[in-house]
Amino acid sequence: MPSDSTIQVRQVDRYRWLVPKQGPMRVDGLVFADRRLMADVRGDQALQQVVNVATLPGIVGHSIAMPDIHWGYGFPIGGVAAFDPDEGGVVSPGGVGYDINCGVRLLRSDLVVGDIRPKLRELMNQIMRDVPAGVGVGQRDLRLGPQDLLGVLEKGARWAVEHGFGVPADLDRIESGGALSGADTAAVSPRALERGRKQLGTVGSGNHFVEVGYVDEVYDEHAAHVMGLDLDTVTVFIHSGSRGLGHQVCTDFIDVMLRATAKYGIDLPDKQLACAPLDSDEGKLYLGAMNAAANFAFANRQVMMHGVREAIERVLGRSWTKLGLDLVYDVAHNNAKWEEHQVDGRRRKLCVHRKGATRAFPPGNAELPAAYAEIGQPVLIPGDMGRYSFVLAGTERASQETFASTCHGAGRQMSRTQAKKSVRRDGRDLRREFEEMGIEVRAASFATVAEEIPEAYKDVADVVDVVHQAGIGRKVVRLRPLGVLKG
Amino acid sequence: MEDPLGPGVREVEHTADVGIVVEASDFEQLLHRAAVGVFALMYGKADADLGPTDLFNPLGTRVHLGASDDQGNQAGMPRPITVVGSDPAAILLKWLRELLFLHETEGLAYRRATFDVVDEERVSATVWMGPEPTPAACEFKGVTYHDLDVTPGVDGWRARVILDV
Repeated sequence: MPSDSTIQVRQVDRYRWLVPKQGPMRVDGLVFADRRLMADVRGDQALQQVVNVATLPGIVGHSIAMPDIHWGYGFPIGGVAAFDPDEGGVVSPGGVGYDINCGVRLLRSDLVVGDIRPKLRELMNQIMRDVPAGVGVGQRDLRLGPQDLLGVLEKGARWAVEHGFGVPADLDRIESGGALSGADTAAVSPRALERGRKQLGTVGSGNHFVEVGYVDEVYDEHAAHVMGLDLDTVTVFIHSGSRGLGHQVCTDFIDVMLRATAKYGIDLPDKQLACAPLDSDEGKLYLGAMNAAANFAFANRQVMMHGVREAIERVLGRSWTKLGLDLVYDVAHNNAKWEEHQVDGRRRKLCVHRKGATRAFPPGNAELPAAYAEIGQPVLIPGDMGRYSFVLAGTERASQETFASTCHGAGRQMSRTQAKKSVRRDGRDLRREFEEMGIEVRAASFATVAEEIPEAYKDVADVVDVVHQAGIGRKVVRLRPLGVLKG
Repeated sequence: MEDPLGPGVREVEHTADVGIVVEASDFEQLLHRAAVGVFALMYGKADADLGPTDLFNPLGTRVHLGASDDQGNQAGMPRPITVVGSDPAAILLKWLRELLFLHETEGLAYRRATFDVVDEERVSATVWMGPEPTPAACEFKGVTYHDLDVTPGVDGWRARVILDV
């Protein structure tokens, strides 16, 4: 595997590494990592991708990498970059990724572990029935007509609520209210619509999941209580995105952007960074299509959550409202959004790309629901399927240093091939291993579980400690898995 | 030992995604081998020894997206595919995209193709797809330009492709 040993890097403090401008870089790179994670970062092409992003027109501040950074395509996964249209800034589908608006949401409940443990097997089976997962798997009962699909693309999670999937109060607990404005449904190709038609409310595959867990450690009692996440509280994590619809939008627009790159004379170190000026026709068209796909993702997670609520109702025999199955928050980690940030002493409207990075607004931000105004935005950081996940809160320092962004997960440290080799070499009995950990695992295929073994990922606690210590996120609680449905 | 991804195809390491290197005697064979390799990866042909596919799926629940659900099983029907591009790399990328689109919308896997036109800027082919007995193990969200390389040589063609998982 190629590495980035020739790139100059200077340690700023214990958790920050500067990649000074070199070659065609327009800004410095800034990597958040401790010494050990930084060694991992230098082990593949991720750092080169930080450098590549820094060469794009109109980038301001830094080309930023979170501690869960790893080698992606175009942008690194765990990359953040902001572009100013007044400085020729660009938008790049490679800075968003194929899974547009992929994200996570977290439900809390009035249940504690003892309530759920005896029925866990039954519950995971029911979730598997009600929330379809796996490749080529669609919704049996929800196949959208053309008008429905356009409604989803325009209204996002609101469409789902209007059609009985959840309640209006859910919308207040979703980033951007569960719908991005400026969705341009005409910019979404017939192919993208065809791919999305049967996939609303489905998990997909890869690292997507539904995870039943519980709060096993509290770091900030006040914030935890405000979020409804007191010790021992049963929770449900949901991770999915815009499915085939979003993948197709990205595919369509990479070709558009490659032509635009030539048209506007933009030099690229990697074709997958294909981009167009934000104020160009191509840039506007992509943002319109991307917003529509993002709304599909919000609606997808809303419908999935409805399926989870119904599954829990069926197994426990009580309504979800009586069980207090409320949405804590839904946050995306793959998108490009218009936001205002302070750069070089002045407030600017920027297009912030987050690819495998989470928005993390500080206390007092106007977009936050009233309940979170004082504590900051809940930031949801899933780990691997065997250890733990974290909930953090957004901080003012993230607002100043990272365009209000923080990490999004553990980050892979083994390729999928390596993970499967490890399972094969050691002759591991994965089902028994998870049973011994007290975790009920469901997956459409065995290979998915083998690819997602806990050690395939960095320890998310290490990643979260870096963002906590660096001040770009504040630990609130840790969650332990009880049952996992993988895609 | 038989190559699980098909002749001339091997997997290359990528931290988050999946990549293959394909070698072939000519461009037409390269397109076929790449297709075989991608679908072999998707259906876990190299992973059969890992464990029973349904070990974590006690209900056997799955609902296919494919045409077989609502329009009858169309496996075996030939499908025309034409792709144009500025160079062989673009052709290969678009060829694989077409096959993945057919897979996602019809739930069928690549079997074989007959090629009517094959040059470095255009391919026109008839493709046969069919159902697999087991579910796909992974989903490819897209075929990327990242590290994409298609090179003719003295002994034939070589390609490297990274797919987003």
